[in-house]
Amino acid sequence: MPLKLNASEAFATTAAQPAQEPIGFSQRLLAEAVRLHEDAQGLAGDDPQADALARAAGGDLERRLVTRARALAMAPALSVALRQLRGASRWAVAIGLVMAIMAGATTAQVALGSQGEGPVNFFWVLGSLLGVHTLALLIWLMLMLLWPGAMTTGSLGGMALALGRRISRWLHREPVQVAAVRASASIYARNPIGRWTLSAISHSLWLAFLSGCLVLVIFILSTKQYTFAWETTILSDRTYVALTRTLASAPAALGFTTPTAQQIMASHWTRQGPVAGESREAWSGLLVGSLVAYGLLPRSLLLIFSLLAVQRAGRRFRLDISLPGYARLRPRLLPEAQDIGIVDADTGVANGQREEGGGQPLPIKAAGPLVILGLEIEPPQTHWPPLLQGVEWLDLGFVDSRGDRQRALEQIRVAAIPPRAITVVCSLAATPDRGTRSFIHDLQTASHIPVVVVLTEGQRLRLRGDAEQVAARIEDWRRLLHTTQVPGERVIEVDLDHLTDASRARLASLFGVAGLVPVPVGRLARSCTLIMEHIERWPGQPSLDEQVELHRAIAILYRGEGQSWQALLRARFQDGGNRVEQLKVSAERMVNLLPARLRANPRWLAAGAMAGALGCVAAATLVAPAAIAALPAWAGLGAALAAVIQPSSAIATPPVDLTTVVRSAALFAVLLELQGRDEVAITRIIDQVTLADDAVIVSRAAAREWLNALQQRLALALVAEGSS
Amino acid sequence: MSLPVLKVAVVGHTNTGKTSLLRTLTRDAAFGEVSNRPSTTRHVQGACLLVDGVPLVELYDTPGLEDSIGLLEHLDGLRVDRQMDWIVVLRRFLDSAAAHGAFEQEAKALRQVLASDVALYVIDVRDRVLAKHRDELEILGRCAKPVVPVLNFVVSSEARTAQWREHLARVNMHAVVEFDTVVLNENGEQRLFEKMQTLLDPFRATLEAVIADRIRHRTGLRHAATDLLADLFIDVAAYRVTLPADGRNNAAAMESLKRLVREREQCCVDALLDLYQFRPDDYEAEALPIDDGQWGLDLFNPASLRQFGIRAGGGAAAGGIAGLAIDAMTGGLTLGAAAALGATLGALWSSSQTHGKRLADRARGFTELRVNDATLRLLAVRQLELVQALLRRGHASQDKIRLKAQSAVARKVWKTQQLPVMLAEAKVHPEWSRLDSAESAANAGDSGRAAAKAELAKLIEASLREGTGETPPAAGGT
Repeated sequence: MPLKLNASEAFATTAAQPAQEPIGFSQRLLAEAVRLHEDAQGLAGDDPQADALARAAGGDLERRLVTRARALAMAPALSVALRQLRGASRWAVAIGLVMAIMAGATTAQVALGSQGEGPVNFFWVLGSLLGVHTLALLIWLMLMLLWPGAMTTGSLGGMALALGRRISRWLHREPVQVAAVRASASIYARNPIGRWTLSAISHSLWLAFLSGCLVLVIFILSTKQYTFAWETTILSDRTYVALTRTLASAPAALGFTTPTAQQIMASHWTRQGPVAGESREAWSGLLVGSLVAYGLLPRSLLLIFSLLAVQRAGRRFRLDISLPGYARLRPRLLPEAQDIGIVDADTGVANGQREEGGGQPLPIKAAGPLVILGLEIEPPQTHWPPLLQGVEWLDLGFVDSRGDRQRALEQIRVAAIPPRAITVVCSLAATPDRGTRSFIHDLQTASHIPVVVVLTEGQRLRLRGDAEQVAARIEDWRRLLHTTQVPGERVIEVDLDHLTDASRARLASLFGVAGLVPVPVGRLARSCTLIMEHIERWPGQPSLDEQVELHRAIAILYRGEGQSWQALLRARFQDGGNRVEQLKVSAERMVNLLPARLRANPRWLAAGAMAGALGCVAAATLVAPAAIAALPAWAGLGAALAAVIQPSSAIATPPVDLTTVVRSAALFAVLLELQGRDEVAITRIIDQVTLADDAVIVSRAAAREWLNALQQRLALALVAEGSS
Repeated sequence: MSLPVLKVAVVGHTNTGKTSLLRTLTRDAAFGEVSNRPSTTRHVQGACLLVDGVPLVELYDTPGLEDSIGLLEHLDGLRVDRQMDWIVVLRRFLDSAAAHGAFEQEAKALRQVLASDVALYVIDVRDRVLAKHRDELEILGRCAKPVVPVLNFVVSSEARTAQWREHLARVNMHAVVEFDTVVLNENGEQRLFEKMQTLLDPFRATLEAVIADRIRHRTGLRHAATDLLADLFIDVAAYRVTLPADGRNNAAAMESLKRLVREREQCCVDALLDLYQFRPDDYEAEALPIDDGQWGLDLFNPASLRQFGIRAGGGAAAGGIAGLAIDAMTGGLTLGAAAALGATLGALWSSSQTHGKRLADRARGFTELRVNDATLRLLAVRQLELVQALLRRGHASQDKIRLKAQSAVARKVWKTQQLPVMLAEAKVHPEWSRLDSAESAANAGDSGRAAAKAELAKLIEASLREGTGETPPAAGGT
């Protein structure tokens, strides 16, 4: 959600970005710990103030995350925990170092002391002092070069870290501590910093070990006298000398005295005899020198290297912002958009100008031609101009551009007989705008002839959305035209693409055309007759086929307006589709058209659902007469119908008895009669037509009575509707 | 180096969706006011797009143009001299009384266009191409600013897209963008910025930065989503409950397991919706497979398996417990001796405590209760479907159908083929599951789990990409 900053704040953020100081590793670590803590404990710690601080800090997402982490309430506790963890690790390493020194000293003592009296096997001592270290070093090298990832689980350092973690977990169980441990562990496990830290620890432990060795070796060599000898089984003397010389090259380079070839030869164990002091010195030099050159020196170099690598990795470490714990914060900390606010406010003047209206509308005279023109529409599918009994149109065609409008005005001005009204046909699907208003205003004021507005294409608008929208749109048109002295009753909605008798009648009533019987209900009477005929034929409870037959027969009467009522019911019954779904859609449509009080009644609800569903089926049979033959084969239809009706009753399943069948057929017939009107009107009329009678129809006579009463009520309702 | 800020004026006939366009671009559902009534927007309101906190693009919503025919007539009237430049005429108009009276709305819009670098002309393609639209484009053309037509409501059945494109071509506008503001369209957004780049050379870098940022954001979201899924799968696959051999408290243990797994799944769903900033109102427009933030059918309901076409699997556990499986504690021997050895060694190093206990329990004849394979598949498939639906938000509805088919193919992998190796691995490492206690939660920092999760996330991402038909990015991409 972007945030509402006012304009000055917005510019402040862009104007001066504070000097961006680099983010330290420990800060990032804190952010990770915060994330893991939130992960485990939930998001109760979210703090809008921290978010605001983070936004103010600027920079990229990582910087803001770090700033936020620092500003949260849990941050001090986490920092303390992280510090404690670091402290604990340091203690662990320190203990390790001490132990390593002692181990080194012990090894040295054992190595030198194990020989008892007599000459000491030089290479044996050297091997026991340096052997394991060298092996470890080679393994470390191999791992670092070939398999960097494996460092963290297997090695010496890895074990130390795991131990530290375990101890820490043992001592502290609080979530803050846990988060700190997890954060450190996960970062060290997956990052170069981990393996370099472990390497550093390893090297330092070994360095300590070797130092201990060295110190004790020097001490022992200083205090005791040793004669060094060598022995071999498989190597020749010369090879041995060569090997020793090679071994001695590094210590010699460092300045230690090393045995010459003769001294080496002389030290073969068989050659006992007085050994010169220089020989002893040389061999000790070689021993100490080897320790330094092959032990301490490499290890210290590697230690320094590892420490530098740790620094570098710490500097280069970046938070992984694609993790969900961070990604969810992005919209808050680094919003994608911000409001600038209103730049050019509305003064309300134009509005004021709109509202002028009132005044007396021009009266429609009794005689004269009726002008009709279409404004920004296409010729409708039915005849243009619309056929109305007793009306002769003066057709001005379709008006769109400026030139068309001028021409229309001109034609009206020069008309031989002054017309009694100008009918402007506009599209309901279009938004009424001031351009239209000004044209209609011009029409009325220039010619002093009253304007009547017919809004067509209502069906298009209905298909787009719900009934509320249609009513609102008509209201908008009325309001707009009110400011041009066209009163609300002269703005009517008649869909010229789907003209029905009823709508024609409404159109005619606008002009007070005499001689038209308002609303012929002929077809409804025929529907009721059909219902009676079918009831006579049914032995008792009608089967599904018979019910479909009845609905189909009624539908045939209104075949001409098929498109209209099928669209109203959204009846799209296709083969191979999900029958239940299709029937459900139509049933729901029908139920939605029922007034609220009927919907509360489970029997009426079932009747409505059935009317909709069977209407859908009837529509399908109209389209494909062959489908009737296949009716009995629609095995799933009964189940589908039951599934449709079933859920509509919350209390109990109403039995599908004669009452429900008759009501459903009657509702269907009424709906077909009323189609073409807008839905709110349909619901109103149905409300008036159906009293809240829960009468159960058991006999044919009762059915006939009920249907007659229905027709009477409908006729009354339509008259009331027509005059409103 | 700072990039130049691009100013964009969004203009068009009234009620064509200009404010909706701004809402979509800024992802702010509260911007301005949207309704079906005419003249909803009566002022000029702005918002800017930020990249890394720096505003790079300023968007201005203007009142709709309503009386263009009248305005054009008026402007023609003001042009007393044939030599007069149209810009001069416009300025004269904007200073005149008419601009604050009858044509106030149009004047505001034009003033904003003249103050901006580019104008987006929004068109409702359900409307016919009428003279008033021609006049609007004529007036806009005289403002001497590049104009990018944006076609709105292209997914509607009434759309007259071809007619509009033809008309626009005739007035020499070929850089047209289709952008349905109701169907959230992120690819359309990218195309819009790209088309603007072709018309605005000085702002090339600015728009490039915006496009790159949006792509980065999308990719980041996808990574985060796959991470969440991988976490969920491992947690559920690894979770075990130990049952004593004599069958006491079995029912309670099973219920407890089911409850924990359901809660965990719901947690993941909530996190996903939060990540994609899915609001409760969006449920209407979007066709997500969930209802009101929750899965309609329970994870352990056999009907859910049917709904997703997953077979329940042979050999139901004793007593026909839906969704669960009871194992004799094999200690991983089902995976083969090598894996078992590896697991044992690993266990000795890392979690000797738990493993030791497990071995001891096995000796005492305990059994383990876990979520069975079919339910794991179901979990995977329906969560993938949810993420895919959320990703599909970036596509218009025609694309959606094609994508649904493709993603069905991709999900087949999870439905029928063997479960990924990492899940099998997870089954051997019950300590990887965070469902039971804080102890395991601490252990979850374990690098073994992290590695398996990373692998699994990659696999999920590949499945998702297959489902949306994208090619994987080149190595070393953003």
